[in-house]
Amino acid sequence: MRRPLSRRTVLRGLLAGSAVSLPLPALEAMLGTNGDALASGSPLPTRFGLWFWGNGVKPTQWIPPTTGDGWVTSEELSPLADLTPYISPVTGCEIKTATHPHHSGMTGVLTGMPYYQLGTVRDTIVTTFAGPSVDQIAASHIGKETAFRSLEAGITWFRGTDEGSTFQHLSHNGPNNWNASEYDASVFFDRLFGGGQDLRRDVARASVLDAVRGQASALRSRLGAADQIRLEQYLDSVRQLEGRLEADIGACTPMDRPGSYPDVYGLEQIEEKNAIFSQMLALALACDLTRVFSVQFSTAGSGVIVWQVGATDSWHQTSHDEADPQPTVHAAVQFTMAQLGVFLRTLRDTPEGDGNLLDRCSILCTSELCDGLLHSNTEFPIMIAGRGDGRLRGGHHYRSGSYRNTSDAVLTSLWGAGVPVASFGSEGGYTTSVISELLT
Amino acid sequence: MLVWLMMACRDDDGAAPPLAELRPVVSEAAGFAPAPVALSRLTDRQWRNAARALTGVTYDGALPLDYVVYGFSAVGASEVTVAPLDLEQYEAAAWAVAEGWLPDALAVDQVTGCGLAATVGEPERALGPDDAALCVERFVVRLLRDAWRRPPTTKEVDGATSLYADLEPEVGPTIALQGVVASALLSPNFLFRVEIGASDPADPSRRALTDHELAARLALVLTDTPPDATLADAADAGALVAPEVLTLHAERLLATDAAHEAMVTFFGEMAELARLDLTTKDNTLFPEWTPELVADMQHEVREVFREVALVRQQDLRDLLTTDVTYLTPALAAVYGVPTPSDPSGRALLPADQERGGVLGRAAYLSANAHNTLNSPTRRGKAVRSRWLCQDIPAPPPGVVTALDDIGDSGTLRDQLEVHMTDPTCNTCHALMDPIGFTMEHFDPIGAWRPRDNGFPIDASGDLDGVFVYGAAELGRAVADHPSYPGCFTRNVWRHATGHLELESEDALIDAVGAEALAAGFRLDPLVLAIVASEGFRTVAHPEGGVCAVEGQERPCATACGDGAEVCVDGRWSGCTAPLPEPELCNGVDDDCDDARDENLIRSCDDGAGVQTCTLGAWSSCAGPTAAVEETCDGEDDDGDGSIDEDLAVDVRQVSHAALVAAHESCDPIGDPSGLYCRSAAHRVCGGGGCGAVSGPPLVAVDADGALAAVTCLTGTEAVPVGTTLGELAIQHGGCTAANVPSPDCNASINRLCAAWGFGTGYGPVELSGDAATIVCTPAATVRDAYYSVLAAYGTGCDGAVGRSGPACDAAIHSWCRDQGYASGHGPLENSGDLLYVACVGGAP
Repeated sequence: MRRPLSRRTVLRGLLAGSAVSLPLPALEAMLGTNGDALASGSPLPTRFGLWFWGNGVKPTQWIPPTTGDGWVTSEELSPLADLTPYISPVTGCEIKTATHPHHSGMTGVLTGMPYYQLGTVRDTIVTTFAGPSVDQIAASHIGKETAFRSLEAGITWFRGTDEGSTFQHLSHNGPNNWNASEYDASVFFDRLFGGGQDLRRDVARASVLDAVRGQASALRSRLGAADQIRLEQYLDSVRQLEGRLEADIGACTPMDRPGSYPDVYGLEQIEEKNAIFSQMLALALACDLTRVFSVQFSTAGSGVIVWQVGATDSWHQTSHDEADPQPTVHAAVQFTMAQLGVFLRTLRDTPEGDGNLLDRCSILCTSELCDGLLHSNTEFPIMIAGRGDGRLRGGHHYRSGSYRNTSDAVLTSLWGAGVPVASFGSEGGYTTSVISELLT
Repeated sequence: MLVWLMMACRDDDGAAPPLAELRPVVSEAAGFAPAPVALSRLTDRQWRNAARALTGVTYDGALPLDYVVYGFSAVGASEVTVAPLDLEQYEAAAWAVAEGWLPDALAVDQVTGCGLAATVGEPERALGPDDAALCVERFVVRLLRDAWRRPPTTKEVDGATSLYADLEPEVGPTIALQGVVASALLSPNFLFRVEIGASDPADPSRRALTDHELAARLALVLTDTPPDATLADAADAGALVAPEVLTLHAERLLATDAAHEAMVTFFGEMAELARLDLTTKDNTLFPEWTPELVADMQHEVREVFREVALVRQQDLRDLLTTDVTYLTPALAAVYGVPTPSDPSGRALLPADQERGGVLGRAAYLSANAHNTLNSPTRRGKAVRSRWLCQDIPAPPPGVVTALDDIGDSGTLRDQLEVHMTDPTCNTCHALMDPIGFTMEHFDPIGAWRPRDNGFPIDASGDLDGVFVYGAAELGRAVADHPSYPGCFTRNVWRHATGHLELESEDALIDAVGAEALAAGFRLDPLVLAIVASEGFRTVAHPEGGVCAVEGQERPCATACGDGAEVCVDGRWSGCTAPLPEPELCNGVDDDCDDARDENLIRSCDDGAGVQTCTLGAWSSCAGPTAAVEETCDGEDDDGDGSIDEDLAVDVRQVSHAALVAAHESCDPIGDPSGLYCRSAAHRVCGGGGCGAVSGPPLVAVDADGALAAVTCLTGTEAVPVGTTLGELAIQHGGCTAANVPSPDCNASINRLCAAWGFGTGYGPVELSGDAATIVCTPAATVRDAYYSVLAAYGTGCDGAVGRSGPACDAAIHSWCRDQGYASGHGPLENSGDLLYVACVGGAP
């Protein structure tokens, strides 16, 4: 098969005056004649996604009442009723490395590892991820061919405290090294679809990146071990940006540029932002700008005020303050699941080949703890959405009777996207086993 | 040096203390050891200021978020790296600044004076090629020196000039020169404050920052800008390593507007003003709460600090008692006072406001309250954590913190009194609520309220035994609290040094704080005392291969010969002796074991037989015949005409002498599982024939110094892979140079091999600087094992006394053999009694 021209080759060709034309296909033109493959002849890709919300659920009202195929939605999952054939809830699992409710839960589910603590001078802990989060493990395998290795979107603001990157950020490459979620819809749009081309500039950009890579390598050998690691991460970032310049141009007909959706009288426009980010992500996937994404609907220990359900204080505060059965927290969970529904429906309703986008996704949906009141790390809320291009069976509620490792579910979601890893996590969170009931 | 002293005093307008009061005396404290150095990434403010200082261009686009850790972006700057999105933003910013500075040919010619663009427009003005190149080089030297805050090396200048020379024919002089500027701004030498230091002649156990490093640290910490020309010249002259001179420059900088802005920013972080940006208030109860009002509240606190601490250089305790305010009309309305007539909004709050200093102002009161209600608990907690450096743990899980609804029968205080009686709560709440009660006269946005819920307010409270009524008295009590000066000092220290204080610094910090306190606890003397101290001027040697004397040489050797290594920047450089290579059929002793082309064997092209190598020549093919088990002994044990074939996993007995010969630092008795013996086992297997390429950690079989068991693996079982400690640490943060080998590194290797599709692995088997060789074992079987079971295989690997190391290597080896395998390695991961081990060879 002929290797597609890299963007840089095209650019150099143009500058040299030869007659290479820029490939700028519209969305339809990106598919092959049968509509079941990309124009390059490659099969339609499978995508990995992560959809995260903070502060957990009310387990008695979240866990579906029936197990197995054709599961029936619980009260809190009722907004997803029309999507159950695409969703497999995984319940009864626990974080095996739990020592702190928010921090252990966050890093435990997303990395399969304990958190990495920064300093110990005060009781309130400050931590970061000890290793890459699951989306970046996926990206290291299936994110290399697209313009964006991964995309990160955020819906509700971080309103947390100074407790390290674990509390503020979702996607991580390693300790103190995160992929910040973009919260501004118009900035996100511009990054994906905006920006004119300047051919001479792009040639110069590539050379400049070459040059700074050399500077970093020279500096690296003079540093201590910890700083060498930090500079190695700088070099990784340079390589990724070089990859972007080299990547095939995935152009498509974009939607209208959205606004920024600022707060109105201190009230967040959550539904509006969620809808527009859902559309942009669906478009980015359809155009093959990326194959890995994460949505941080709310942060770990989120301070979002879900005013739409009548809340007057932050979710985290309410989860401590409200007496059981916590009607406001319950309503906030239900609202959040409805927002997840909006996202999944947007993917389902975007046709691709003989199916839709959700057919070719494996999306891990989870939080950082189970019950906000108890701040528990057992009975963890997890769902795997999508059919993973036939790898995932969908529509099956798996319930562990023996507190299985949450990493089993995470590894299953990776396999669902065809990510070839044999294990996930380390120490107590380490696993090589998947939940076979969810795979075809 | 005299020049600098004169310059420092030149703008003496009476505000600066007389020379006799300057601080040439450096605080000293017994037992001090400096913190390890860390690259400090420029903060958002520092990046913009540095780009503007270099080019005159103000960049207002997006930059990476500052990382606020333990309250300070300076602390986070020493932890954070450059993530992919960060680099994307830095790249866009670098190009935008480069374009803003050199938008067109005219600007290029004005800035460089090289007539470069004239080659396109007016060729008659162009310099000849040689002159132009020299002119560009001069520009590059200036650019890099200013951008990187130190003189560039020749190599660095060559790199930048060749970037220009490469680009210019393709994209023209303007974009080519923009590219050179962008590369300077995108370089880690610009993005990070690079501090390596030089060996400290006074104390070889640590390193002293160099002149240019001190200049950059001083300027960026005190002013958030790069060194000005005066400071840069002093660094060039080698004057700053003298603490007296450094202090004089610090004094000079502290008087500048830039320093005032930087210190106001520091105080904003200390007072957690950014938290207000994330704070919401119920819109129906507090319709006046807007982003503009929030900005007014932050402005008040900043300006109070500017006046009290910077302009007037008052006692820092006055911050908590001052009546000075800076009000906008909106904030004056919240306070219920007239808008000040002074255009700056400056006024003195009337005493009946009972607010006291910054703790009684709207910023503090709003950030530490809920959306609809006050929170005496939060207001009390923030006094403890931010102003007294005391921490209170979060409420225990499962405790409902809901307040009993007492309806209209009392105040919030009445509800909270429950905390004070419930034994689960009162240990902590007794430390917080009585502080917050004193601020109950102020509602969730900091407005005065005479009553709460219709009932009169009781604003009495207590701070560690001192009775207090109202916010003004609270401010006085916190200012007089014995922990306040030390806490303030620690906050300045964290900001100035970019790290959390270490135990080895405690005594010095206490000494610095005590001196400042004795001198009236003013900000500038406090900052100067920190700058003059060893904590600001020295750093620890970098981790890994520490050596004290720069340039010192020592001999080293491998099996292939002798060499030397040199101490460079505190680390031993790699050994210059040649390394053993895998034996090839070439008539040469590649693996340096005094045998040429020994034990080499390969399949014939038709796959039916094998060939052996003798002195560079392959034998003719010989057919196989099966018989007894083959071992790697140079004999045809199974009588198939082939010697030592198909030995995928071969447990051999190796003499200790052979191990030491393979790696001179291997101690097969004392530390058989250490890095050096791992290298030795790896090398012995790799050079020992039978196609083996590596071996897992060896197992001592007798303690008399004679023999060890080494499991050698061939290329089907073992895949040596080059990696770096950086890559390993990403898999598990605990795997660092100081911790090799270790269970943490085992976990890293396990994950990395798995990620590459090679099952699991062990190592490192070689380590040189950051470069590590690990060995993946794709054919190994990962098994669950239990320490309680391994304990039966000899003492020392019971999960309590030992969880890894020699005893566990031996136990895992024996356990795997009992399961029907040839050997094994581990633990790959472990938790409680459970561990994962990798068994190799054979099948269950």
